[in-house]
Amino acid sequence: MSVAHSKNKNILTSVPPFKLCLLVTIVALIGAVLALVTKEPLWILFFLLPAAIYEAIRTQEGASTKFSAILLLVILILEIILIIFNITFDLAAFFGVTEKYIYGYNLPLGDIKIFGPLLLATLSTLLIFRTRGRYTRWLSVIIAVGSLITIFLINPQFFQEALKLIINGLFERFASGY
Amino acid sequence: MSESTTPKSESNTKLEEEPLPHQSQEIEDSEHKKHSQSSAGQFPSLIWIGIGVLAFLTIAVLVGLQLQKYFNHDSSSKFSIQQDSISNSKPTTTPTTQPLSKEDVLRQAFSYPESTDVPDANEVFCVRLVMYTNDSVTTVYRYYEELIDLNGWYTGPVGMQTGDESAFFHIYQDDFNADLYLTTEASEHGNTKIEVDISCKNEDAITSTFNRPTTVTNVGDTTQPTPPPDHLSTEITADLPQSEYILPFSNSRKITKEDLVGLSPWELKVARNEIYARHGRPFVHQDLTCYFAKQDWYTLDNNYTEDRLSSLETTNAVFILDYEKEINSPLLNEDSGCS
Repeated sequence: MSVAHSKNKNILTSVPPFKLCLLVTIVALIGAVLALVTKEPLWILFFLLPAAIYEAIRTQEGASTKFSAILLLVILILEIILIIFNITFDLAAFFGVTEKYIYGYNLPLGDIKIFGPLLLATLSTLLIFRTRGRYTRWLSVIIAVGSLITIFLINPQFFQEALKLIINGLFERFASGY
Repeated sequence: MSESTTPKSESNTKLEEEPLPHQSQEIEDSEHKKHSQSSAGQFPSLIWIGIGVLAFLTIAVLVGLQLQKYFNHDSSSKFSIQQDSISNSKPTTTPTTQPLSKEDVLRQAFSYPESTDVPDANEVFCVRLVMYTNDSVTTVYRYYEELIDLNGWYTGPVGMQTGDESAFFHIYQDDFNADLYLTTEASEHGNTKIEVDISCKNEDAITSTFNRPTTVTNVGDTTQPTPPPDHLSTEITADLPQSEYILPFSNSRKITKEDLVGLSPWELKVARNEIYARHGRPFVHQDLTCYFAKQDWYTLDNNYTEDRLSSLETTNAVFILDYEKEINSPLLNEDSGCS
């Protein structure tokens, strides 16, 4: 733990990170179950918020990892707003291309409500490999799984393609020694 | 030596000597006790924090779901308005017809204008369309792109192959999924093959809108484009024998939807107006004037009045007009002129 954390007397430092991670994992798990049972992606998206917030707070090292963690939280909040207010926006038409190269992945563009969770899954996968802390890695795994569940609920057909995309990306990273 | 100093001296003695095993165990036990007491103090507070977070998030989700239902109600009401406008266009004398089934709605929505529909046996999808057109893949791609934009459908991967020889769309809606494949394939029916595989979801519920683009925008390409409307009637009339009616029975029996499915927009326009033409009606649209002038059976009567039509003929004319509106016929109010 850094010196800054040790001097900070708030709940996040007084409670061991293991227990906090366990707490947000349980919350995310409950959200996932509720989402899969009710087929409403809002459950998993809202219940991922504690994990995303804690991830954004905990991620310290590296300019790209901190930025990714904060961006992840912003996208999660935006995705919730898009789903609640039923906002549709065709990114493919907006950019005039069918896919975009982001963080090492060629992500297919389409409606923004599908692209959001796909971007979440991509960013969290990125954090799994880039971040050094075992707790931030733990949180990234939770968010990655939660994003895949969201994609499955919004678009089950696209879920298979998203899974292929993530697994291919993982293979490539393993091959390149990330 | 006082009693108060005794423990100290004892402890000093202890420090100078190695602590006895049971004494070091006591020290460890007391430290462990302190740690577990602080952990035990944290544990209930952690549970309360967890419960509080869960309660807050649950309330947030429930509020979000209510808001989502409210905003989604607006988009589902668009279809009911669309349905209402179709049903309201029918006059009271129109015979009662079966409302369009979900398959029919999907079939009409995805039909490419002026294409040749090739029957294809299918047991997997609720709707499977195989169509051919002379328009290029790019033109057809733009048409379906506009169709998707017009209705705000959710799409997955879409794309066009380099060289514009093939393209695809994947559409994912709550009430249907559709996969569209466009390929350059020369055949007797046309140069571009359009395959549409539609899986119906949520049984018969229809929540999507199905507005269709009114025109096909030809993108500059080297393949033969669909002729513009002013040539359309020439091609169609050239194929029709000059003394034949499109619907010869339109003055003798009620027309059904089966009689109209498969007719091109021009044929529908002619079929509707030949009911009037039988009685010598003069036409305002030049394309109809020129067409009927070539018919052996047509005799222009400048004294024509609407009351010459029987109620059956009026009903049939309105029925065809409603069908043209349902399929968004591009020739409904369009005068394609004489050739």
